Amino acid sequence: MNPFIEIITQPDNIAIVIMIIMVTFFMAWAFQQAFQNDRLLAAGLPVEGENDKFVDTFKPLVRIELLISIVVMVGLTIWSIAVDAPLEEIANPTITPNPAKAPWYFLGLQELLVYFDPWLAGVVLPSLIVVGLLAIPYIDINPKGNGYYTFSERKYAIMIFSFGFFVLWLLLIVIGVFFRGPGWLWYWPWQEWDHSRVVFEPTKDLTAVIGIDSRSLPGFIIGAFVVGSYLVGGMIAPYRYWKKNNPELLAKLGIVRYVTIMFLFITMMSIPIKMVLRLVFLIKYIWITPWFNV
Amino acid sequence: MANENKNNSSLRVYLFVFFSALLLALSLWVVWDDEFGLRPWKKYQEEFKTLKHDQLEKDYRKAVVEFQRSGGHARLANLEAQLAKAEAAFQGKTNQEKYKQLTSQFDAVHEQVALNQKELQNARGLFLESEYYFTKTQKQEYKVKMDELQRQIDTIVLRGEALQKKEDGLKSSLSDLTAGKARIAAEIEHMQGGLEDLKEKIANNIKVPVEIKQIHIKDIDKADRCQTCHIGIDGKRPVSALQPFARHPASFIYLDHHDPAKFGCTFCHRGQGRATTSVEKAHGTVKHWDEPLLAGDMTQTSCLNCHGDIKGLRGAEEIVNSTELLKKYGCYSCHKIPGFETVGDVGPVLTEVGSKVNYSWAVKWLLDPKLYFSSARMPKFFFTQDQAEAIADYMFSMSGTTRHDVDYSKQTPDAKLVEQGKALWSQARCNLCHTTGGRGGNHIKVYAPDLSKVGSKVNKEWLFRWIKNPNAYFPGTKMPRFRFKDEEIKALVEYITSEYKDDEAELKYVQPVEIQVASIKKGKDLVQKYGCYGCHKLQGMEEMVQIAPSLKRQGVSFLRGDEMREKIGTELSSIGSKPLEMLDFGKLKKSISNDRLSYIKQKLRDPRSYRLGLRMPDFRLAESEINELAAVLYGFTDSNVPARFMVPSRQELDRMAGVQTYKFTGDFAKVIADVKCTNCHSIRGIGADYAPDLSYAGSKLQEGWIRNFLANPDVIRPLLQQMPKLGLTSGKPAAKITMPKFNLGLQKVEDTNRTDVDAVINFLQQELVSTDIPKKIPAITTMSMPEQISQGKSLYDAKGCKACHQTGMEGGALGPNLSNVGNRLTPGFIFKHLENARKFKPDIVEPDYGFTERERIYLTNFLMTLKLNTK
Repeated sequence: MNPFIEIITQPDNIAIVIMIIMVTFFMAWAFQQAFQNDRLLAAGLPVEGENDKFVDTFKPLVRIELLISIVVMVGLTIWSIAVDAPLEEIANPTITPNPAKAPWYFLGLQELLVYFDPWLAGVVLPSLIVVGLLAIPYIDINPKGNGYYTFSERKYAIMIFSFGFFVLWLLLIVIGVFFRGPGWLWYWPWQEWDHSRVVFEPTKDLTAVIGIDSRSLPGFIIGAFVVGSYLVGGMIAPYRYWKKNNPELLAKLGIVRYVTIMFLFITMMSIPIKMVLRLVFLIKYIWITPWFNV
Repeated sequence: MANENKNNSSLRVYLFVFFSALLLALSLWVVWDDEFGLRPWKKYQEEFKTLKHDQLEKDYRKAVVEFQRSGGHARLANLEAQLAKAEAAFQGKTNQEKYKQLTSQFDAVHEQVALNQKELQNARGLFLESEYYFTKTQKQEYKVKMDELQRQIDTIVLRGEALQKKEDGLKSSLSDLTAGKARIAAEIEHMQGGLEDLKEKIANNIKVPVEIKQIHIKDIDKADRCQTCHIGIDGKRPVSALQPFARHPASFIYLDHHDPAKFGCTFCHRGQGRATTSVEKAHGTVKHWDEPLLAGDMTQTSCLNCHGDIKGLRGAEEIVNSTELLKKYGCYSCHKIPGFETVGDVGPVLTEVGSKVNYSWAVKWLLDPKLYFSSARMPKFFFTQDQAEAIADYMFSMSGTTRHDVDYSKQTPDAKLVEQGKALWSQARCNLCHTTGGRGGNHIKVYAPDLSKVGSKVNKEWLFRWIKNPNAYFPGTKMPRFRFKDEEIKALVEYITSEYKDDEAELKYVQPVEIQVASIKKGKDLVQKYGCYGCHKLQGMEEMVQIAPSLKRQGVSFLRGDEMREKIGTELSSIGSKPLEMLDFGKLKKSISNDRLSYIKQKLRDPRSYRLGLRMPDFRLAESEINELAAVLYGFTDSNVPARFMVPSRQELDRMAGVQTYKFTGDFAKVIADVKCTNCHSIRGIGADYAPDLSYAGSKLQEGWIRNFLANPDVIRPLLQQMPKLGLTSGKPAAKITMPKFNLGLQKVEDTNRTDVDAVINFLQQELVSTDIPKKIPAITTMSMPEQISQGKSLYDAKGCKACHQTGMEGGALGPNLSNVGNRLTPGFIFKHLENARKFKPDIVEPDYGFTERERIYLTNFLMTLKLNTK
């Protein structure tokens, strides 16, 4: 059987298949409503829920929740009777399964291990995700979009969230589940998994590309400079841009919020940048320190 | 807007009702699934109970019919009538009065007895009290009291005895009155008892609960639930011959020796013992369970888990046969296999092969051994012509410097010599081991080469030296040294080389050509790479350099001991439980099923099919051989067998107990090393089971007969001895097998003055004796010898001995011919043999007649008179 169909039909992966379908559906629905509302707003027409300050809990919410909980119960019951818990062979401590995959909801983080130092991919980035999610209520000062869908009024927020959630979280999970095979090598759905396949990519550290040992002091300094200028540049450049084009926004945010937002944003963007460096330019690390590597 | 809301809410209500109903239905499904869907074994247990019920019902009906047929009903009615009559008689006036009177008398006496008993108890208590005070104080008053009490006790006891007698009398007269009634009632109960028991069994069967039946095997901490479906597997009476209700086949071997409560099922059968939700899961034939159920003969592979020595193990016949294949093909030469530690004993020594065979033959042989003879055991290595020549060069360079053949095609054989050789050939029974032209080779376990084309293979000089002393060329060969004279050997060589030639092959005989040094080096590398030294002894090749000085000068060296790896193949000690991930299916990952058994079979079928660069040669095994070998290999597991289960082999036990393995000593050892008696005979556990066991030959056989037999072997058992199960197996047709004539007695044993026959007889009589066999039999003095003999003769006739044994011209052909038994066996042996024939030969077919000692003496004396006059 084609490995892709095999993977899709595995009982383990039912959840993720359902997730893909549901996320796509709800995303499409939400955006469709947002664009619809945007058109109304642009035409100066009222939008349902735009000015609602309070809504009854019982009728619109609890009844639907009850209904949905019953539907979910029905679904879970059918699922648990029809599909047995997927067991594999008896665990053997002397044999590591290949590929060794994390639970599906962590596969995005596991994918990050390809590009980052384990300390960054496993500790720093997940912590920042949690911190960033916690910070949202404090850094989101835009009152628009409460009670109704809109895109034009929350452009930055929605774009950043969509990128972080759909691309960096879900897409990486999908990659981890469907596109990674033995040896964590990339397999297209139509490709046969081959346990003896060898792919050798001679990766280098950034400074080694220009002929300087990344573990030497000059290498350390250059690496630190590159990382530092990314961070500092990432802070200053948007500031300059907004100062010129949208000074009210900056004034509304204040310097603390701005730095927090930009730090989280820069860190998030470092992930795709590092991925491109690693995949396209075969660069392993930019900056090597005795404690961690970037 | 409001309308829409209303519509929405009524839709919600419908949805709510629909999904709630669905949830309710699902709840019912959950209950059903849990109770029946996931418990398919309930169906089997119910079915079993029905079958058992039917069987018991049938039993009951049969018993009832039996009861009726034997007139039980009439008898029962009769008894009941008798009972009624007895009751009526008992109820009659006179009897009743008598009964009442007796009862009251009895009651009165019984009361008196009880009172008396009480009085006795008091007196004894007082006596003990006085005794205590007397012992303590030594006062005379207590002594007096004691004496007084003792007198009282004596009278009470006397009175009690009289009363007891009276009571017993009354009791017996009472029971006389009711005895008739009681006897009839007991008889009725007895008659009905059998039927009642059967009824009770039926009732009990209905009450048997339907439940999971689990065996917990403490020693290996495994839980088997197989009996949940296979419910009648260890039952006394099978209710059905079909699975899952059938009884375990041959359970008298398997279950009787392996209590299911201690061993469980999966210990031997594998499978997933804990699974109960489907047949596939329980049998382990599902994905990710890599120990699928073993069924049928294949299960015997599990015997290897615990039994160190499966030779002769009942119920392990298949696996014993299969294990023989490991020896045949010498798998252990390259692979580490438990129980097989030796190396280099499968093929012949090759050190001087250049002086033995033709160069062109050697190359051809290396290319494909089966082309030379089809039963060749050597596998095909897929050498190219160049490679084969290089190896042949390497082999030939050890004893010479040239490639060379000997061409006899232009010589005409000496007809007279050939004739003489032919006679010797049959006299020496060469065909017993060697096949020629598709005939002979009965003794398969010595793996002697097919000689049909040997004339085209070896040269005459070598053949002469070989027959003269095989040990000189190949120490440890199985070929015996026949004591031929040189002229005889010449004749034999002439016969063999002229008779057994490869007529079809057009051998291009090679004129001597100098061997190239480069080729030798290449050959050496190949020998190392493919591990030829696994089967062929190559040790000591360093010395061969001396024989080929010119090559030494050219810098050619031979394989040293440290250049040989002991076993070049993968270790097989636990192949049967090797993790699947560690089996490399390579190219065939998709085309064959990925399980251990398929892997092993494919490896045996086509050893190099998994990927390029594999070295295992192709043995070209028959499919049946593949299955057998795979069964054995599948049994090599590293399962954690508790030490309590292990049955070590005899050798292991001996080693643990510090017992030395039996060794032949003195001159006999030299004779054995030469004549290889143990190729066929077993002596004290050493050797093969092809010919009679000689462990106690000294006690069994008479000296004169041994001498005679060694000089001129003759048939003792007319039918092939290997076939005790006559007509049951489809073995080879009965052939007359006799011992070859080794021409013993013509030569002295090395370094001594004794002839080899004397050495053999001496050892037999000194060493191979048993204290169980007396030298003399007990004598009967009360009867004259001729009388005893005639008694023996009539016993011999009466017991039908001649149905199996032949004497003179008459008698059967199953047992040994007894015409000359008086000359052959010792009286002591016959005497003991008649007592218990199985003592010396456990699988003998002779029945046990249970003779008395006297009868045995008669028979022995009679048998000792059966003698042929030898000239």
